[in-house]
Amino acid sequence: MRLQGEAAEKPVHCNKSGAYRTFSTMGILNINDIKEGMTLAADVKNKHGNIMIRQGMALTEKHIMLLKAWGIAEADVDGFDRDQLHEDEMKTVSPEVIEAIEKELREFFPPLEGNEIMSEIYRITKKLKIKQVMES
Amino acid sequence: MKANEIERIVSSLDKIPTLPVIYSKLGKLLQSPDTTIAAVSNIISEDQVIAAKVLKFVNSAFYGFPQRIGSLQRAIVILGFNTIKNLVFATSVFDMFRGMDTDGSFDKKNFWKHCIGCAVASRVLAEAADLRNPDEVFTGGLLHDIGKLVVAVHYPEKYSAVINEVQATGIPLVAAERKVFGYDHCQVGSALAVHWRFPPDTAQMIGSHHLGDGATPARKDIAAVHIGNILCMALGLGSGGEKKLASVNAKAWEFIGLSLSSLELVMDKTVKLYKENTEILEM
Repeated sequence: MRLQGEAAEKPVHCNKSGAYRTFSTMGILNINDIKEGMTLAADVKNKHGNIMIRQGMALTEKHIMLLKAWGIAEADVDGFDRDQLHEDEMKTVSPEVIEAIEKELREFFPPLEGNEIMSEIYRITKKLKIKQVMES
Repeated sequence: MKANEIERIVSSLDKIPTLPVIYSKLGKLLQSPDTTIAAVSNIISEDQVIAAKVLKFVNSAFYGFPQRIGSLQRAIVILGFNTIKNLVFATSVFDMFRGMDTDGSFDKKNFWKHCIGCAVASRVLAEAADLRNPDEVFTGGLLHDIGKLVVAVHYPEKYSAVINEVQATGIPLVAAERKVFGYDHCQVGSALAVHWRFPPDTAQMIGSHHLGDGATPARKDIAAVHIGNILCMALGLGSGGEKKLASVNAKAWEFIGLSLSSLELVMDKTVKLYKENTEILEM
């Protein structure tokens, strides 16, 4: 369930080697956010560095299923941005609900400033809670 | 932990239940290099309840085998002696737990859910980090808070006071326990693990899962249980009685060697496996 290729050793946003762009402009999406029809902006590699799907491929439902089965956590796709995608998703839930979730989590979580791991756990937990609300 | 301290804690707890005999029998059997699959299968079959639970677990989404595994012998062939031993261990402890009753502010049901959540999260982390023993990590996660349960069974009123203080002030549970009892649930847990002759790795996962004051984890499985514990609390899978979430120990995170971006997949999988398997896990 590691990242593809070299990124397995370093977090993506620290990686400045060719295959990935820097954090602010990148189109690296989590596998759960990847949808049919998106185009790969970089080769998808497994943890051994073998190329599994080539850059430029338009992804089908089957590709996405395979990526998940191979345990690949994310892929670089053209023209999408994780933060943008997340914001779009949030628009479908009422702000009061989001506010209530945020309040509950902030009371429970330790201070997040300067704490990269806990900030990421917070972000994912919030996303999952919002998803739960949308589904119910 | 010193031997006399273990003795002091264990001797202060007089109602400690015993592990089912099948586990120690199996342990002895597996020490011999000449043990056959049939012999192992026979021992497990002696306890029909445990045998059924082991099969149920083998057929759960944790392993995702394409076909149903119908017999113990086949399960042993596919999973190997160590994994089977771990499953028997986990189910034996489950059985033991069920007989323990608590009163007062200790919420046994949510505590249970928390243990299962931690077991699932720790196992998912162990798999993601390519650890060689995800099933042992599962058991470690399942039992990480066993000390809480045993103390709550013995001193229901005092333990209610601990929980109430944590809820009122937001201090960490271990701090409140030390104030009231002079020891915390990690120490009790590792003392019990020695008393019950748990595998040493499991004992260490139980005793060290908090990694307080920036302690360095001795092994990756300890780091997995430490992080798994925090993930399941963040996700709200049950409750271990804490008012405030602790931070992940940075050294543990570094040690386990996962990238930040793999966290989303780990947490997603934890929620899914937890939901799909509550029935099996609440056995």
